[in-house]
Amino acid sequence: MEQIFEITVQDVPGLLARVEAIFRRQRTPIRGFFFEGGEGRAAHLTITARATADVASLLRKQLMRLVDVHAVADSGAGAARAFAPPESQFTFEEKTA
Amino acid sequence: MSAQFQPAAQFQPREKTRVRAANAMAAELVAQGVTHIFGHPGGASLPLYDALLPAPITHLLMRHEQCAAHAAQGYARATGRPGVCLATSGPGATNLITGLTDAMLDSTPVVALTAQVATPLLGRDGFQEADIIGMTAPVTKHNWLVLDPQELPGAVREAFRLASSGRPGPVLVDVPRDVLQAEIEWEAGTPPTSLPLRRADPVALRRAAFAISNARRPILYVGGGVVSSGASAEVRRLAKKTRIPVTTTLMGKGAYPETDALSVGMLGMHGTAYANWAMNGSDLIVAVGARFDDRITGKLATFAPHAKVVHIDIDEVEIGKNRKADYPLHGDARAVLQQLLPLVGAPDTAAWWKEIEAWKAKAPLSYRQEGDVILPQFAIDRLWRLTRGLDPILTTDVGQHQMWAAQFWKCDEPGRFITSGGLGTMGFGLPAALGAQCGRPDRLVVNLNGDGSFQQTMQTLATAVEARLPLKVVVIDNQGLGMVRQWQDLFYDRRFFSVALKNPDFAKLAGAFGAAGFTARRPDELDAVYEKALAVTGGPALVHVVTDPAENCFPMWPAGQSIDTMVVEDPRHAAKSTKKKS
Repeated sequence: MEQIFEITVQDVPGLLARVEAIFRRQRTPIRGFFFEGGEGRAAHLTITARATADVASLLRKQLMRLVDVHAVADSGAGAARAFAPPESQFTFEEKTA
Repeated sequence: MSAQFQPAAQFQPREKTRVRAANAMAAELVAQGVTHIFGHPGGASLPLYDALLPAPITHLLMRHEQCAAHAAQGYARATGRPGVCLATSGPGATNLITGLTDAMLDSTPVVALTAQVATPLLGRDGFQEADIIGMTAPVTKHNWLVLDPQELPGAVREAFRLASSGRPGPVLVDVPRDVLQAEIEWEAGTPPTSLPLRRADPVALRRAAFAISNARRPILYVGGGVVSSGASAEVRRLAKKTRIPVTTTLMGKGAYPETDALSVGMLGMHGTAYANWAMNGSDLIVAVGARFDDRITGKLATFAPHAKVVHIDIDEVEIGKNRKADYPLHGDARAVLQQLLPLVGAPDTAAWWKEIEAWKAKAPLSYRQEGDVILPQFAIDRLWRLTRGLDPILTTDVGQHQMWAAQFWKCDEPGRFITSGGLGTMGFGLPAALGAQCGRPDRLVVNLNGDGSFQQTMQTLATAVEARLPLKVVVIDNQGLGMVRQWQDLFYDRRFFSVALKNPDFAKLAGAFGAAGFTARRPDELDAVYEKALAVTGGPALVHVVTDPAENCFPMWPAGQSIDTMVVEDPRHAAKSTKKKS
C-alpha cells in the first residue's frame, strides 16, 4: 500500500543519501519526493513509497535512528511520532489476576 | 603563533585560549578520558599526531587500519568505554570500514578519527582523497566532516556522547588537514555527560510481568545488550527469582554464568541442542538485549511456534523486526529489568525443568579425544580449565574455533568473551586482544585464533611486541579454512576447493616478530606448552596447536533451515561410545 512519510530533518549535506539508504535496504523504492527548506537548517521531507504496514513501521523506526531526523509522522497523524508501539489496555484476565 | 598544548590544560578553569584546532582536539580527547589511541599516521593526519605527542595518551602504532578499528573494539568491549582509532585520509580511512561495520553490528562504542585532504582539494580527486563520510554513513551511528575549525572540539565531544549513548556504536569524525591546522578560540572541554536511562512504559511492564509469572515453559534469551547496558546483575536476580532457564547468544556470553545450573548455554546454529530445543519448545521467550538474528532462529516461520515474546531492547528498531513482540518493552535493559523485578512472581517451571534436564542428558556437548592428534575442542577445553581461576578475557577470531570456544569456554562474567558476532570478521581476534590488554592491563588476555584468521591480521604481533603487551595467542591450526571446509563437506558433497592452507611455522613466525613461540602437536604436550606460554612476561607469547583438520563443529543446522533439522553430533562419531562430556 502507498505510505507517506512526513519527516522533519536537519538539512545537512549527505542527509538525503542517509534517508535514501534506509529505503533502499528495505527494497522500498521511493515513488514520490518533496523537499522544503525551512528556517535555518530545519527542513521538511515528504516521501511516498509503496510498502506493507510492517515495513513502513520498520522504516519509520529506522529513520528516527538518524541523528539528523527529528520527527517522522504518519500521513494523517500530524506531527506525532508514528512508530510508538500501540499499548492496549489490560486484558480481562490480567485485570482479574 | 598558536599556543603550545599543555596536557593539564583541560583541568584549568574555563577560559578561552587561542590554539591550533588539532591541539584543542587532542585536549578534548584527554578530557573524554581517552587513554589509548590505535592508529596509523599519514600526511593528512600529521597535525593531529603533532598535537598528540605531548598528550597523556598512549598511541599504539598498528600495522593496518583494520587492526586499529578492531583494537578500538577490543578496548571498548573490555572497558565499557569508547575505543578510539585514528587513520589518515584516503586508504587509511577506507581501511577502517570493516572494523566500523563490525562495531556497528555488534553495538560497540568506537570513535574513529580520520584526517582528510585540505578543504580546497575536497571533491577534486586529490591525492589520497576519499569520500569517507559517504562510505561510512551506512556503517556508523553518525559521522561528520568538520569544515569549521571552531566546531571541531564540539564534534569530538558529541562523537563520544553518541558512541556510548542509547544503543552503542561507531561514530566517525573526518577532519581536513587545514582545519586541523587552523587556529581557534577554545575553552576547556566539559566532562562527558550521561543521559537518563530510558525506562519502559509501566502498563506494558505489568502486562509482561503477568505473562512471565504465569508462563509454564518460559526461557530467558539474553543478548549482547545486557553486557553493554551492565544489566548482568539484574538478569541474575530475575533468573534466581523465577527459576527460568537462561540461554545466551554469542554476544551475550558471560551476561549469565554458564556454569550455573539455570544456564542452558549458548543457543543458535552451533549452540547446545538443549538450548535450541528449549527455545523452540517454550511458551514465553523473554528476550533481553537480543535481536532474533538468523543464526538464532533458523527458519523464522518455524521458530518457537508456540511462544509469546517479551522483548526488552534500547533500540526500538529491533523490537518486532524479526519476530513479533507480544510484550514490547522499549528501554535500557538494566533500567527495564529493575522496573520488572518487583512485579514478577515465580512461575511453576518444575515440569519444564524435568524436560530440559532430560534434553541435557540426551545431548550434552561432547568430543572424543583419542589417539595422537589433538582435537580442537580438547585444546580449547584444556586452556579454559588451566586459566579459569585467573578470570581471563578471551578474544576469538571467526570460524570453527570461535564456535568451539563458544561451546567449551564457559564464561561466568560479562566482558570476558570478546568476539565478532554480527559481521563475522576474520582477523578480528588478535587486534581486539591487543586493545583489550591495553584497556585491562591487570588481566590475562588470551586470543584464540584459527590458522586462516590469524594470517589476516597477524602483523598486530609487531605492535604487541613493541608495546610489551603480555597477551597470549593460541593458534588452532587445522591447516585450512575449517568452517568453509565444513560447509563444503556437509552441503557441497565434499567437493573441497580453496580451503586448504599451507601454513608457516607459527612459533617461528612469532619468534621473527620478537614474541615467544611454542608448538604442541600431541595431546600430552598441550598443558606443558600452555604453562610455558602463561609464564611469559614482558611481551606476547604464541602457542601453535596443530589439530585434526577433519574435525567438524556440531551441533549444527543448515543456514535458513528449521531448528528441527539440527544435527546434534558428527555422524562419523555418533556410532562410537567413549566421549568427553562438558
